[in-house]
Amino acid sequence: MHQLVTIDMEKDLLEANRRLANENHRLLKARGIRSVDLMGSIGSGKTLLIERISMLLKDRGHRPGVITGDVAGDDDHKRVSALGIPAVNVNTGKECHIDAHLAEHAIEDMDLGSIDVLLIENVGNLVCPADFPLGTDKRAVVISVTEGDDMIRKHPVIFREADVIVINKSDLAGVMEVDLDVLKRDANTVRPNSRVIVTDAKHGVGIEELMEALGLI
Amino acid sequence: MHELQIASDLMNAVLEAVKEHPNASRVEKVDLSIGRLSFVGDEQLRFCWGAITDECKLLKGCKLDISEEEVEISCRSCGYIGEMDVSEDPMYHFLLPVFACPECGGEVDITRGKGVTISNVRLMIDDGVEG
Ligand SMILES: Nc1nc2c(ncn2[C@@H]2O[C@H](COP(=O)(O)OP(=O)(O)OP(=O)(O)O)[C@@H](O)[C@H]2O)c(=O)[nH]1
Ligand SMILES: [Mg+2]
Ligand SMILES: [Zn+2]
Ligand SMILES: [Zn+2]
Repeated sequence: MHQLVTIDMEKDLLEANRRLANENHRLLKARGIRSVDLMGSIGSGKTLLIERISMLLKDRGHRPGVITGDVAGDDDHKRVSALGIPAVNVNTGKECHIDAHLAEHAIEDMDLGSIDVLLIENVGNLVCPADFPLGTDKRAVVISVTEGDDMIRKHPVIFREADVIVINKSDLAGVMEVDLDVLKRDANTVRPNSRVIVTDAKHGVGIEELMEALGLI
Repeated sequence: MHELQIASDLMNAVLEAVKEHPNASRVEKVDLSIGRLSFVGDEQLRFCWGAITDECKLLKGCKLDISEEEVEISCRSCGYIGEMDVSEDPMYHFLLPVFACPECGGEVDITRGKGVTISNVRLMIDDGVEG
């Protein structure tokens, strides 16, 4: 005899990631390590901002460590390592984001005794990382003026997830004829009272304000 | 954009649930709801699901019934619970979700609309009795 049976369940497939993220957060807190997840578009300046922030942190006697996420390759990892900063590379392979599980392994590979701040560079992507918190204290999204002034409007959800919204390459705003106020206004529409920081990573402008917004100083 | 990962998590979750029924011969259908704010596309998910279940005796041909989960927000200040506002920008012909309380403008938490949730699994049991 055949019989049809229905199993009722209420299982969220993204829940497992959130649980792992909470574990990552607990682990980092227990070690007294502050942490930031830098998400953002491809080429918006995530690595350069991380280099700038790391150097300023070192100047102030902090011990930054960096996890660099890329679909393939280790270019960003090399750039950070060259500054004498402990760095772990994560290649996501076919995935377009780091998830809490990959972050957990990268954290395991990091010498946690030698750092007090962990900066994670997520894969350049304004879509996927929104669904996958990693367990950091803060999440930031980095965009730059070279992508035009409609980035926030096109990807509202990730900006909603961000504690801090960074608009980088302000030195190029004039050339690109991008109105920073349009981006700021959109940020405020998707997330009222959001913290928007304008930076020029190339010339080191706005970095300290960003660090302050991220709770790093 | 990460439907393959979701499809494989889904497969593991369904097989786990079906374990309690050792006589199951086939899973007929899985009901799934996808939050409007999550980035999982139903067509891509169906495609990945078909591909990864094709070799599985229990799951081959299993239908995915996908519904959309609406967004619900709850206000931290005034206690409003309900739909979120959408701001219409005539200049850009864009609809922008507004993640603030439509009543008082306060900060909100998103309470529904972000998950990918299995609600039930329908399976065929073969109880070994003739007839
Ligand atoms: N003019 C200008 N150039 C910048 C600025 N920030 C970064 N750049 C340049 O933009 C390019 C990309 O910077 P990265 O820091 O590699 O950007 P990224 O976001 O890490 O890139 P991916 O990891 O490949 O997604 C590099 O050539 C940087 O020198 C800035 O504020 N102004
Ligand atoms: Mg980079
Ligand atoms: Zn993805
Ligand atoms: Zn309210």
